[in-house]
Amino acid sequence: MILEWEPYVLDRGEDVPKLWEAASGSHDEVWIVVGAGFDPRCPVAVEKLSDEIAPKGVTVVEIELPSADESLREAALLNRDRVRTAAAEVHELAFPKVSGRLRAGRQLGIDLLKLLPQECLLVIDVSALPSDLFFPIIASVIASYENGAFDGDLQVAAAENPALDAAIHDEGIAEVGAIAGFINQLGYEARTERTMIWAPVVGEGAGAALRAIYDLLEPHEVTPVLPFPSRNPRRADELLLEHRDLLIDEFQIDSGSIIYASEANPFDLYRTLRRLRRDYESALAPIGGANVVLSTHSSKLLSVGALLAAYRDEMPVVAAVPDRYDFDATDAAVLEREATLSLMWLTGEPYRP
Amino acid sequence: MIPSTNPFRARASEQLQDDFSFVHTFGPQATHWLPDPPWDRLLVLRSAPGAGKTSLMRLMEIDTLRYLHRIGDPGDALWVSLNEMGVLTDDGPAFLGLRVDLSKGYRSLLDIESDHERSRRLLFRLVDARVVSSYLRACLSVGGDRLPEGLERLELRPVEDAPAAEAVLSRFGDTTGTALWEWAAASERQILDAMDSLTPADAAATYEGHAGLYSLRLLAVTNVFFDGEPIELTPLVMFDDGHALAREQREDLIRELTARDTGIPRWYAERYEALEPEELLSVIGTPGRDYELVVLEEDARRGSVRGDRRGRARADRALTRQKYEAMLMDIANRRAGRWLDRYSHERREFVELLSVELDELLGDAPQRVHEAVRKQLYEAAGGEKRYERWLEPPGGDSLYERTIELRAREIIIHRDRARSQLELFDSALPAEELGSRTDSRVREAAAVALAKEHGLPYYVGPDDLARLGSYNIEQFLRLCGDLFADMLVDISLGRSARMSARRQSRIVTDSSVRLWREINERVPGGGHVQRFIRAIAAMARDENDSPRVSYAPGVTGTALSTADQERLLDPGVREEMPGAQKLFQAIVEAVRHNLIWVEDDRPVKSDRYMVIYLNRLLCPLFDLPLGRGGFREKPLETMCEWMEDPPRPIATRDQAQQLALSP
Repeated sequence: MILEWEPYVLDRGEDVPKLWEAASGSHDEVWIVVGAGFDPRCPVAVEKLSDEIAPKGVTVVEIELPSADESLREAALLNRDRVRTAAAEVHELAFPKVSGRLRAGRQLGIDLLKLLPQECLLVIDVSALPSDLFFPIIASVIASYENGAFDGDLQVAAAENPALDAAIHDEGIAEVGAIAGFINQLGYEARTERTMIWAPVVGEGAGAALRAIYDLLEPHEVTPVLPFPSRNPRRADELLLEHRDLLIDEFQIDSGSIIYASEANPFDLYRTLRRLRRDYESALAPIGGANVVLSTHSSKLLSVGALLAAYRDEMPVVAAVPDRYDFDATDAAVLEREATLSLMWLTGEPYRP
Repeated sequence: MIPSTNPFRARASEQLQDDFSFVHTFGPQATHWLPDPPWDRLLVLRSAPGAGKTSLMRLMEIDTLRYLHRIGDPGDALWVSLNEMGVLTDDGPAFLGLRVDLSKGYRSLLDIESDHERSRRLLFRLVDARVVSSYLRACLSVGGDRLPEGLERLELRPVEDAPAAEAVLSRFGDTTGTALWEWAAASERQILDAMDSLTPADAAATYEGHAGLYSLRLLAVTNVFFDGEPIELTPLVMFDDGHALAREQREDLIRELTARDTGIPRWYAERYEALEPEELLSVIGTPGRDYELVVLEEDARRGSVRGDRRGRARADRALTRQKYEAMLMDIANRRAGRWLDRYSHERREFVELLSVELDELLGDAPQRVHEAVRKQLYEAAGGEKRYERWLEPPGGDSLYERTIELRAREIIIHRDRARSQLELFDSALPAEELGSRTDSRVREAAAVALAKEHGLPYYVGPDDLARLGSYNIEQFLRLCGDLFADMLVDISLGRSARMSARRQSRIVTDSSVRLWREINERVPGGGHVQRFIRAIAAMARDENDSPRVSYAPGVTGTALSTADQERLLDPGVREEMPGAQKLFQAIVEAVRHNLIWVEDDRPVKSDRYMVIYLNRLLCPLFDLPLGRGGFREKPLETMCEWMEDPPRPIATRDQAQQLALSP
């Protein structure tokens, strides 16, 4: 079956447990995938899910993340302890030995599918997972559902907190390229020339990543996606100001190139990007068509919208993986309390005919 | 017209699909890096990032050469240079150049095939697919048709008496354009889809490979026909970004490319990497015999032409430092010329707008500065008879030159005081003695000291702009962009575009600060890299702030002995010695990102060293000179301590510098 997510299921905050209740009722097993890292949001979904479905018990798949700096290792260990306390059973997925960081998520997705039972409620918590890892992991499960190998309910959880996002800084760029699983036709050279359109979902502090990706892709056109409407109504303006030199002087975009998508609804971005691709394909068909390439530099929630569009329409996704993170862990407990949990239901019950 | 385009920043206009912009802004002197054809041995191009090897390859691609032939001016320097080399003739291009980008997916083959032999075969098959598709695309360009319709008009036929032609052709089956294209597309898709598969079943499949690079042999034993007419151009296959491959893949590929029976010209380009355990090219033999090695910008960095240029570019065409800097000025003027004329009808060239009168370098109160320097000199002389002739007013056309001369004399006096010999009689040293001890390096040291002591502009003018590029054309263009952006402000206000010394110096310092800040944003292990650079700068400042300035114009680097280098390469040593792993990573990444440059195996006294210089654009941040200057050798233990000790404070005169360097 081919999933289109029209309509879709999305909830947040206090309504999230209702979706878990609805989904877990028809399954004996409830699994959750988390990134075992320093991000204070790491244990949030696991603990809430465990409370909600008790006494059933949740099976946790803990993805080992690349070693953090010394200063963040303690935070990672504390998170791991909390996750294991909430779990009935734990499976560890070691970080795979691959040729490059952008290949790791694909291997993790394949490894996850080998672990999963054919039927279960599977929650993938992206709160503490980098997008270059969770993109192929989620795509693997969706592909497995569509080809009939997995017959469960997949939900994606994201604990959102813009203040925390602003407190975690990417430093250095370890690698830049297409995410394995989302290379699609970006790697093909034996094909007719197509106009390359790059649609970055812009966020704060993304300058170095945007520049690195631009240098890699050398696109014919750039159509940045800005968040609007947004909790901060001026956020789109502030992003334009922050990246003014890059977007306007170097990339030479004009105001007509900018696309807006709701900060709070990844399915709005999903629809917007699919429409963008259709429009460019149609307009440029007489000269060979277009290749729309995505990259995400914004919130986790919004990133999932881009993931779904890329998966459905086979759009390449590129990423600039940071070398390390800088995070001031003071006040983490407060920051964690302010996180809002959102949940998207992507396969299973709502989509059965 | 409201000025809005900065030709140095507008990446869209410098994109590779814009032949006009590319050709008109390419510095023709860069062709002097290349040896003349026939290129019958593998030509290896190696350089630091941003030095221009990809642009050089792009110049040789068939579309560029055809464009040049079609619209080019036979009197133009680029045309002349390519014509002299035999690359471009009056009848058209002599070569069918095509470029294969090795950064596109090859390394990932290791993830779908762990066995080395099978992985090697997959590598060759994927390379073959891309060589074939690029070749067909290039042939269509010559024939004047396009994909996919034109493919049916192409056909490869065996050259008469070509050895093993039939055997080679049989690997590809049908050699019509359409069939070859379909073969290439199918091969590529099969391999790339495997690398992109998301489910276990797809990931477990196995794939056929090639024992060698059949595509190059195919091109060597066939002629290509378009509508039955031969395309009589020699194929030139250029492999770019070889450093993106895994080590074993690079070895496999260059061994294959070195084989003499390959039969067609081929190039291989890679970025220079520091601290490689073994020279990659040692697996394929000796330079000059088995392959040709061109290290771009090497002659310019060394300041001289290497003697061993057998088979390489003629010495008279060698790109010395002066010629390299002239090339940069040429590129800058070409980029900016059209826009300056459009926005302000400015007839002066971009570079000319940066030239300043020397006395501007004395700031707003030149006479006061001069007097202060003269007073300082008298104090240094201490009333001694020995130096009285050295206090006579200096010659020089400008007040600045005379001021520099005075400051230089102060340095010489301090050096003289430090000499161990004692004079029996306190007699005045002759003026000629001063002349013999004062050279351009001392004067440059004096200029640096003067600027620092009096808060004067220093990094000013075209010559400094070229040096600040640090042999990185991309960096040079970015700095030009910063200067041009300021010019645009004046132009839009209806003022002259000429830029004052003080403004230039401020912009350069801001660019230096930005480069420093970007280290943490874009370089892996950026913190370690900054620590290493900072330690070099602190050491350099200690030396340069001494009144004698022993290593005029000043220290800007350090050096590690070959023996210490070998220790650092040893993983066991790195594990045992605190700071060694951080040092190793810092050097590797700093070279990769062009923050330092390295001269390997340089003789120093009775030993050999790896000399490490700072990127010149970092020098303004630390108030260091731009000249090639000196370096101080340090043992491995000291450099490791740099990585572990807290960063030392460095006194700076500018608020932006202070903020950038504060921990």
